[in-house]
Amino acid sequence: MSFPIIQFYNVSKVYTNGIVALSNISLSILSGEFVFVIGPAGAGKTTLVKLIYAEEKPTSGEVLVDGRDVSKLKKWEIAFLRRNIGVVFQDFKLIRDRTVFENVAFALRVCGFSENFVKKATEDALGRVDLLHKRGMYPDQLSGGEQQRVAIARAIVNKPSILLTDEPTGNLDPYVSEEILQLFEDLNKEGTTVVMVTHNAGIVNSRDYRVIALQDGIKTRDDGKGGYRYV
Amino acid sequence: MFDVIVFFLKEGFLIFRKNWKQSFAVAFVIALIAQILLGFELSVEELKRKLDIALSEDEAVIWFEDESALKGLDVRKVFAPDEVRKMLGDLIGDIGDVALPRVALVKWREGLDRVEGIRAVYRDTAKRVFFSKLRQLFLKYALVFRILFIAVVMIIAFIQIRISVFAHATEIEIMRLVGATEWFIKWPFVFYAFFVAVTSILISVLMWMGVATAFDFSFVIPVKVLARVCVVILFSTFVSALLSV
Repeated sequence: MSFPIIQFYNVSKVYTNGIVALSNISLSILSGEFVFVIGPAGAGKTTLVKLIYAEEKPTSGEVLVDGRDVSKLKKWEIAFLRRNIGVVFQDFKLIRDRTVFENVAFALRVCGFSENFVKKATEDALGRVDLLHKRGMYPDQLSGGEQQRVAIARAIVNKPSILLTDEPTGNLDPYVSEEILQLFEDLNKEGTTVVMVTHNAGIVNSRDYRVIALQDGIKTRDDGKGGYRYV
Repeated sequence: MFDVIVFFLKEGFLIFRKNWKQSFAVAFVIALIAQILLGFELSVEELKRKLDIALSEDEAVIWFEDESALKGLDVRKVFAPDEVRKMLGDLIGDIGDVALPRVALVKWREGLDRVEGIRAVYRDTAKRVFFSKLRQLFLKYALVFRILFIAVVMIIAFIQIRISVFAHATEIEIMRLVGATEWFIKWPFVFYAFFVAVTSILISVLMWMGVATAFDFSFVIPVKVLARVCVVILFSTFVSALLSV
């Protein structure tokens, strides 16, 4: 049974330097959906993602995640909200001086989980991304695709219901990008809602998922089925 | 809970290890400042001791009826009747053959005037008031100095922890991203501050031992003073860590 897990009601975001990142955006994403967010650089895609995981607050309008208005959450409530949201970035954001296992386990340890649980969950997550055999290696010893898989393992280790990915294939070659996308699709089939911000026309065109297009902070398109074009 | 504390300890140690040169430098500077505080605390203790002796040696002249009134008192001198007559004569002139009470010089204590058999108590209160005021004033300035010391240590620790925070921006960003609470983010830095404090205390102790050995000092630093300096260092760095993250 699907329900709206992410809802934007007339959301605008103007940064303090006057830049209008989003203008009057309304949308609804259902649980278990796979959504591409596309648009040229500066269209407001990253801001949209940041609003979902409460890194930014809307200037006006409401952003509801799992029915809760994120702009009204207290700091500790935001922390708990984020435990239910996995985020993957283009630049991986891995800690260079920690092993693959330590990077993934870090996400659980900082949430105060017991070491037994951390060990088991981390091994499960690394198994999911097929990197268990590289658990003792450091990020710099891995390829770009492997580093991104570590970042994905870290994002899913908490078993979040939403996975936000901001240009996750931006630094990867087409073959590896396809692998990463398949990983997201597997997670989506298990019920995780996936929001994928991308510039990769090939990936978007290869699937029939919903596409939301942004341009200059305005939603220009919201199609139930794919295709990479802005308008 | 145990796992969480172990995690904080490990993270605190990792921060220390990552910036070990800076951390040692800061610990050394704090240890140097601790020497000043230690010297000051020792002076405070010595002066307090002297003032307390001065105050404890405060004496009073009592007029009493019979020897039983002196029971339990620290009697310094019992004046003979002739001595009393002479002293009074010097003060108010010839007093003739008037019967005089017995007079003694005793150590002052609270409630002396209520002791049975004592008719009157005379003391030189000026000395007592002077020493009491001096003691109060001295302790007040000592407190100001301690606050100043805490502030200096806090500023140094604050700057160092802020530098560490910037050096660990990625870790903090990831912690926030995956849902760590603000308190959880703070604690590794609190433990880091603890490691810096412990290092500075160790360096301080080595300095004290070095000085004592080099100059063959016969005095022993009181444990109370050492503990006070250590508590001030730990407290200052702890508060700095809480404020700086």
